[in-house]
Amino acid sequence: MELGLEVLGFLLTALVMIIEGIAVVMSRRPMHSILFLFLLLLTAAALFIELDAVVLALAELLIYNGGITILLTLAASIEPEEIRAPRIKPDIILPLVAAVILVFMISTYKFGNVSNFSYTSLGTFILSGYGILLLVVMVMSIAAALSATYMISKEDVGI
Amino acid sequence: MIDYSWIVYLSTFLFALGIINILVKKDGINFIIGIEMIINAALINFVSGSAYLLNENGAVYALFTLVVAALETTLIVALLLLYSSRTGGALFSSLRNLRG
Repeated sequence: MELGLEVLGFLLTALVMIIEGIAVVMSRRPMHSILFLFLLLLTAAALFIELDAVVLALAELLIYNGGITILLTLAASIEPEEIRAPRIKPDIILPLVAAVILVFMISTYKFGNVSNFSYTSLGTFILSGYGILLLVVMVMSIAAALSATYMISKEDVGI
Repeated sequence: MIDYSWIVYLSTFLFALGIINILVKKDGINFIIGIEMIINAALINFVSGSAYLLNENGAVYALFTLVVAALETTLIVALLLLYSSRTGGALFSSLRNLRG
């Protein structure tokens, strides 16, 4: 196999992703695990861009990095936790990893290049082939939002 | 083109790390983090399969999985906050108190 720029980019992304996954497992405090999970999701978005799934990379950035990690950060800040010194110093590793990811995302993406299969008609494809599933997901999202609000607001809900 | 097996190896490794994170740590937040790592491994499999088979169905499945995972995380966090407000912590070792 030729060791071209694309393969080198994938190897770099995979290496960074594996290091971040190990850092998630090795971190003692939950807040550090969430920070490394944030970087892991960012690297996964870079991998999606490399696989020509730009829409999914954007969805990953918006939903996971913008929503779920913020939610987890809030939950971890509310919970009481025992303070222990972390094994990995995130103030040194985090900027380096973020710089590697950003340089890779900017350098390897071919701007204006259309992928092998077109994502421009993805909305029409979803509506035509997966309309019922889309409705189910919409109802599930409403039910999840209402039930989460109810559980948080009512203290006497049995679990 | 990247070899397809490399991406499968990567997603397998991520899946294993998520399982390890769930099994090793007893905290509720780390449980959710492990689940997110497992779901991301599945997403990478979906997207890579969609790219290599030139089929859009994998990308659509990945999109729906992404949305449903976000809903599931919201509900688990709500349950976790409720549980930690009752028991004073989110350690799963105290779940034995819920035995009927």
